[in-house]
Amino acid sequence: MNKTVKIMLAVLRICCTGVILFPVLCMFGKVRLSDFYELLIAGFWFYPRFWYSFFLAAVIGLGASVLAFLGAAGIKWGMGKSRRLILFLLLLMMLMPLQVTLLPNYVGLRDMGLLDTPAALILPMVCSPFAIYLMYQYMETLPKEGIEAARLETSSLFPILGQVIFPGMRACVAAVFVFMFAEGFNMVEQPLYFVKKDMLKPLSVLTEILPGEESYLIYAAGIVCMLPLLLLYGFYEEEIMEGLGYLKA
Amino acid sequence: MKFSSKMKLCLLPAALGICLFYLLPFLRVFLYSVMQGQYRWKFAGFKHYMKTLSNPYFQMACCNTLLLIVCCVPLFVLGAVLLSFLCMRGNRLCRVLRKSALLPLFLPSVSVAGAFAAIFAAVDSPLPVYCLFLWKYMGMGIVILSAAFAGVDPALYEAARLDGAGSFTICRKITVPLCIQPIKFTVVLAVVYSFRTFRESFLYYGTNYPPDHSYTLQYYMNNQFLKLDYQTMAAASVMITVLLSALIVLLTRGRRAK
Repeated sequence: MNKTVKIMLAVLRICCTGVILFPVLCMFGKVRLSDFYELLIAGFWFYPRFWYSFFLAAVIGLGASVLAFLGAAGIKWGMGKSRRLILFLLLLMMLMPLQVTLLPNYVGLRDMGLLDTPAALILPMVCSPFAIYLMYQYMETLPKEGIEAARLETSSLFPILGQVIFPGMRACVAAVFVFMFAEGFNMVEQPLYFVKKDMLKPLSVLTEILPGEESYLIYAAGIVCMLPLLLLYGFYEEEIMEGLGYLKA
Repeated sequence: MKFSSKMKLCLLPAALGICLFYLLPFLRVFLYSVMQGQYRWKFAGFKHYMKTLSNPYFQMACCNTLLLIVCCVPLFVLGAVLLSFLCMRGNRLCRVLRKSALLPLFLPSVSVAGAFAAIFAAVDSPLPVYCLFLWKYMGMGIVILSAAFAGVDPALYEAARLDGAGSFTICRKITVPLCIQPIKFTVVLAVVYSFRTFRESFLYYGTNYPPDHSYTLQYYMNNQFLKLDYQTMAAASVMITVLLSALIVLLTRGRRAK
């Protein structure tokens, strides 16, 4: 390839990166230092909310990765012919828009009397079809020999799950954890519908919580909200790339 | 106990959750949509469907959603393909580009909607929401497509290069045809994510009743839900489910036939 084309491509890449990062930088332009002071030091409402959201997201991330890991292993090695049907159902459920699954979720939660509790926000997200589906797709790429050799040694479940399957799945488990953490930190519809009490609403519905006269704080709060996700993303970027890449129909 | 039945036990918690929160309730929602009322279990035929379809707001919402899909999905797929090509090589700029392209997917919508509200201060069209959608979700398409492009055998490229093909021809004649399945999947994802944009749109406008041009199906369902009109909402849910399932089956069937 000649030099001009190379330089043009490099410039194009830099431009694309710039366009993508522009809105994020824009936020920093909008915020004043005094907003941070007001939010983090003068105000009291922010910290409990923040840790509450963080707690919800962490439980969702952990729960979903454990459940999806077990579920995917179960589908891969426990199911025979019905596997394809299950996978197809999972694919459909994972691709359904939230507005369609919200009513089923709401009905299910109402019948179990879980509305207006943190469990209403956590449980449907923990049983995420997306997590199971992604985990299964990744599991398909593991070498068969490993688990067959392990089964000759032992037939007990946990050594095989923990010492043979899990090490190969690390990237995917990390990707699922970060993805579900982000989803949990970012849920908007669920808190709007499933909880009525103001106390139970996480930071992601900030506009609902924020008192009217303090609406200018939204940029500062938005930036603080971004931090945990930026950190997680920074740490696990490689794993996310690898894990999510196996998603296919 | 046999190994496979132990593995089945592993599946139990996940299966229980999926059944409780997704499958069984969905059946109930279907029943709602064909019954007289929530507590009157009498078959009502397609009454609720007719009512939903003839509602002017539903029609407007359908038009707006269709417009969003028609405008944004091709852009989404095209953009994802181009950007994946741009970050295919392993040098530093490519990695930075790929990292920053995936980043928006993980940022909280509150922050993002705030940023876009600052950029598009006084635009009276659905454009900000379209941009938001493309900006936020294109990363997913890029991850899937870059993984697919990286899976193409490099020997094919070398052979094509020996025969004198340029970069563009190689992309068009080798990479795209070989990766047609992931590209189709990206189309499906784009459609699905265009439904998910409600979240950003809602935070951007901050109200249940946005200007007419941005009133999409999700707003309709949202408002139906808040009015406790579960029957019409169930009918709309069932219709969307059927349509989307048809699309998914149509676009993913190719691989099964092989």
